[in-house]
Amino acid sequence: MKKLLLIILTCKALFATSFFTLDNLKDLRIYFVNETEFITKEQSDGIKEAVQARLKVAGFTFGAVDAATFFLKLESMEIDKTEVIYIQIGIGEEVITNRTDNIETFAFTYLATDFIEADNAYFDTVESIHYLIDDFLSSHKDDNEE
Amino acid sequence: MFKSHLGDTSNFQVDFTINKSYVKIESLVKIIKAFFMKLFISMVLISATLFSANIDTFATEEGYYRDYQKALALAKKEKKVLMLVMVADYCPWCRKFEHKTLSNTIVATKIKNDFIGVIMDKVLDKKHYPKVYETPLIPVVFFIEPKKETVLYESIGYKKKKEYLKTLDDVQNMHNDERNR
Repeated sequence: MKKLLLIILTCKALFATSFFTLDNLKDLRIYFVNETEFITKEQSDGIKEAVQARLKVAGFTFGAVDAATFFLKLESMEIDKTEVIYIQIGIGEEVITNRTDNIETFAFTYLATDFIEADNAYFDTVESIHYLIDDFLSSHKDDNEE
Repeated sequence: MFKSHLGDTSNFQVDFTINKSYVKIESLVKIIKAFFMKLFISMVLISATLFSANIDTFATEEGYYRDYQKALALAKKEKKVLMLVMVADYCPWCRKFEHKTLSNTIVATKIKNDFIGVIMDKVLDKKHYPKVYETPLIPVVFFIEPKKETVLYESIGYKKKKEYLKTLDDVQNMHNDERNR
């Protein structure tokens, strides 16, 4: 396990951007799954709107047909009265594989996760979402610059 | 607040000691271990499926040799630097480096004109390149002076095209200096 952590940390330090390729990614739709109990419907809608607003500012467009799916998933569990939260963001879209007959399938073409223990579940979750989106936007920018 | 992510594990070691019972720490450590294991397995699966390598296709399309000795002989004959690209079929960074950097028109043209490219899978081609180039890190590019077969420069990790073009220029200058001695 120590070796694995070392490898992951070394990779993270060596490579600033993501190994996913985000070239020409422009049209998105948002899919938000909230499997926690501490986020209310209003807060959930607020998070979705905030995420969409940040992505719009970064140049992404919404409403196009066959857009890639930007998903945000929140899960939580309680351990000894402490809320542990698992946050995932990613891109899902149809891709052509290298398999025989170049089978097309839905695949995750970007994935980033965060795992936190929070004192204030809602605020810490929002902070983590923004941290993940920062990384996503930075990777997207890196991949699309000339 | 306790907060962690892949690149920031030092934070949670510090915060673990603050106001947390030993039992709770043990539970959390178990969960985090399980999480990293799950993540590792997912990464391996993603790498194996989405990024299944076809090193031969890349070599053919971009004009890279797959035979180290042949490439070395040509490099000696043409007095060009041998560019040994070391990758692996399970390595997503290698795929990205091949597709975004090495396949870029400007980079590819420069390599075709000034270098002799050879690409090897560090695991599958292990018997087909000198032991001295065995490396734990990939992608790695060894720029080799063909006359003495010494490494002029070693480029480690994914490099964006601009950065890699600069590396190519630097290596070219080193090669010229070496020749003028």
